[in-house]
Amino acid sequence: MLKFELKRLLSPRANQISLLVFLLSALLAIFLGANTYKNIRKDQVIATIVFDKERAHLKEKGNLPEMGSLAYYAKAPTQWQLSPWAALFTGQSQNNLAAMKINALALQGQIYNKEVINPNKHRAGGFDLGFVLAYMLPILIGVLSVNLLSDERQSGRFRLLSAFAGNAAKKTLIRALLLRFYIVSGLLVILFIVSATLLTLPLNGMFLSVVGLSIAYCALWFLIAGVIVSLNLTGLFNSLAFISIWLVFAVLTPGAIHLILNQQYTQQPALQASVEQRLILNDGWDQDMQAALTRFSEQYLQFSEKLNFEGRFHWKWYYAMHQLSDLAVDEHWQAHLALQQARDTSLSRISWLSPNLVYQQALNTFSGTDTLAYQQYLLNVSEYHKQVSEFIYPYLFDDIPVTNADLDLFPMFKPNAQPVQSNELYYGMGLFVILCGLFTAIIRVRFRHLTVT
Amino acid sequence: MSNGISWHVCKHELKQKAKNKTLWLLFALMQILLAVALFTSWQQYQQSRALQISSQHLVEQQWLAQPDRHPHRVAHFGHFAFRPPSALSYFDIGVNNWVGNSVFLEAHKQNSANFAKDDQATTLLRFSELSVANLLLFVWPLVLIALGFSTISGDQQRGTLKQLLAVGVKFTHLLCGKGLAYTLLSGAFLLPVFIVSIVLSLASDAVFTDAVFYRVGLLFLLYLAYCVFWIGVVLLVSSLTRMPKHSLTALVTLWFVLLVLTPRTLADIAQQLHPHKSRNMLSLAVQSDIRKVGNSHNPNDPHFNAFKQQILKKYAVDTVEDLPVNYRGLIMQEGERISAEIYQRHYQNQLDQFNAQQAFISKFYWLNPYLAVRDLSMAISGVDSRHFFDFEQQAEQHRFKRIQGLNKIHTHEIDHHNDREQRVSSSMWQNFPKFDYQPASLSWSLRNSLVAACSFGLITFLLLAVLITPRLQRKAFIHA
Repeated sequence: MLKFELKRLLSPRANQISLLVFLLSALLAIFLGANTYKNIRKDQVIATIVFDKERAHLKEKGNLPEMGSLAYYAKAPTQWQLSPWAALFTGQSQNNLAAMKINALALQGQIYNKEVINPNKHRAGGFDLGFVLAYMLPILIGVLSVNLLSDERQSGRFRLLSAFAGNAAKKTLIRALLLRFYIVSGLLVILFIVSATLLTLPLNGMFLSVVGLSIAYCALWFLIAGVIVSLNLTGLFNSLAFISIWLVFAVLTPGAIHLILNQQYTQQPALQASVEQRLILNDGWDQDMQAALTRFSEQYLQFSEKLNFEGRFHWKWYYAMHQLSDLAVDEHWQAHLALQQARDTSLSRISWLSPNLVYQQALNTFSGTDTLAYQQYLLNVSEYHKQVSEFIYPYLFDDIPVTNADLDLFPMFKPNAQPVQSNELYYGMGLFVILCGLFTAIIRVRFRHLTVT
Repeated sequence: MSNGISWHVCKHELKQKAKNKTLWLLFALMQILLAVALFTSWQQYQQSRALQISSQHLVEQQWLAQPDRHPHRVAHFGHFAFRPPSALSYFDIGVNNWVGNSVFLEAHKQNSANFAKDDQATTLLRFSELSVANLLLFVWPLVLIALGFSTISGDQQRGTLKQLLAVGVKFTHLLCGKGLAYTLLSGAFLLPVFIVSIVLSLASDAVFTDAVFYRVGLLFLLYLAYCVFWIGVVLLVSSLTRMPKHSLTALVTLWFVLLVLTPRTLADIAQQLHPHKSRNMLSLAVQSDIRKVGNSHNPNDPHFNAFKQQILKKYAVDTVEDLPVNYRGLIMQEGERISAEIYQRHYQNQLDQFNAQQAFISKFYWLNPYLAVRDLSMAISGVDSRHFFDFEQQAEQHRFKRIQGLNKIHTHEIDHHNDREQRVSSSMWQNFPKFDYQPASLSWSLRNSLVAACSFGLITFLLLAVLITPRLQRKAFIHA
């Protein structure tokens, strides 16, 4: 029986082609993703090596300049700690800087930098395993299953089987659907195992959750196909209905959501921050330097006795000015963070309109490549920037010369291992299971009334 | 006579489609979608334009409002260049969601365009935004498939094809008639959105130029040709398959491969084959090249020592203090020249890599006309990455001129002795030319489009030629 069903599944040309295309695309996506991930990691490692080399070079040369000058050129590496999952679900990891370099000058002049991208490539839509699973998998499911009943009917087999007792016809149909589901799920498991081997992903509970979510997503699309099958209409209708549903969920809904969010959020606080910060910073040169230092010392009381200097310039004023300019546009920076969060919340709130979107978002959140994960990285960078600034202030205000030993004390960025965000996974799984239940119920009711025509 | 038959077939086909309520609904839905897309894109275009104008005005004001300053302070104060949206970006948004709209122009440093519109594009725009261009490129072919997949194979299945051929209707006439019907339908579908586009650009506060009109006209022709291509594909597949079911499967598969699968895989493979430098690697390369040339702060630096000797010789003096101009200003000019040249070289390398990626993709124009039409549409609308990079380069040229203008003031108006203590009147930079982005001319926009246009034209022509070959006729007879 199984042999016969397998033959029926694998013999049509369309099924063969779809399975092959899906499999090859998925493998290509895994391979390309792994490569890109490797490049990001390489970039991060190189940034650290460059910094260490410059430091070694300085030590070797001896005769170190004062801290103000050193800190001006010391662009310290940071890294967005991306898990290997980012290779499969790239999210924002490709167009954001994952190895931002930071010095003690104003943070607002540095934090909005982006990775160099080829806009044409991104315009094409991006290709990762997330895309293959969220958008191509449903099509495969449609090809394999949406015309099961109409084909059976056309060949006359359904009528024949219906003549047997014990619902043989319906059982055959359900068995065929289930077999396809098992085979596609098996394929997914194999793809994840291949990815795990290639990327050395830990085979833990999280891994199982991702696989579980994917299988729930897969089941959902099988049930969507099942509902269409249960309508007992012509094969042509089934195919068109399935492709229309896909089009609405995959293309039109995300596009419409993008339009709505763009209409809703028109402010650009980051741009405002950037324009204003540079104005404040430069105007500082024409204003009373001691007044600026006094304002600075309101936050750093420990230096309030050490504000005076002789001559027309002192590094302590220079860095204080940068700090003040950051402070002056802090409200825009906070607004920028809040805006990103609000956009993300809006998106989460509305994304249930498309299962593809829910699935994709859950994977991006889980792999730490979504908006909030990037924002968390930016906050870490901001924290590190403060650390670097506070490291150099005593040298500036106490006029301490820098020694080789001091260079080793320069704080290094500690990548913050972010807690894995698995809530979205469970939310997605819950949603899919509920929907699956709903569709199963519909199919059951419909199948009860299934008649042979 | 033959034209008469084709015309009859065409009328019959149209009548048949007109009877189908679902198709009317589909047609209406698509028109509504187009209207929504056009309207929202238009709003966004207006918004970006207003933002660009007000921001550019703001920074010009800030520039002019500076107090008397040392020119090098002014150079660090810098300036911003804002990118105006191209006139037809409401039709085809192109790469606009992925690129920044403003560049900070400052001394010693070339910044990239920053502040792209949003970060959610990676999640929401897997199939690009709902723009008119995208709906026409992506969704309309699917509708054409739905309309016409059974046009020949259905006749075959019902046996009407046999009858038609038996009474002496030539298969070619049948195809011509049906093709004409779908072309007219597509024309009717396209016309409203193009008329509204022209009306909108007339209503725009930007000056309406002939070029915009030509561009809209070209876009109309392009999209009509794109429809003809798909109609050809639908007719061919429908003629080659015996059952409507098979035509549909084949057509949807083709649509999927051409529009969904290959564009993104090719783009990804292109980037792997011709990788460009990351931000960090690019600045590292620029920095190390600049260091190699020379360091003006190092008294023993060979390049700057030679430069100094050359200057001293030119002015026939022995020390920099004796120069009639400020030596520090000259150093600034020289330093800026060197760094700009080096940056330009690396930037060009990046562009070369991007071009190589594009060239790789353009090799597939022959196989996948969607790619050709997509890129042509972006070129005509002035929204492809080439236009964006043109903005970045114009901004860089402007930066260079502005900074060198200030360095000249530094050289001539600031005394070498006690250099840093001095200021010059703010009137000195009041007349600096504003940043005025020169939009691309139509011929510039289309300069690199020959391959795309030729490939697309040729493949469509070949397709139509195949449709009227005797072989296909014979096959039709046999199948019928």
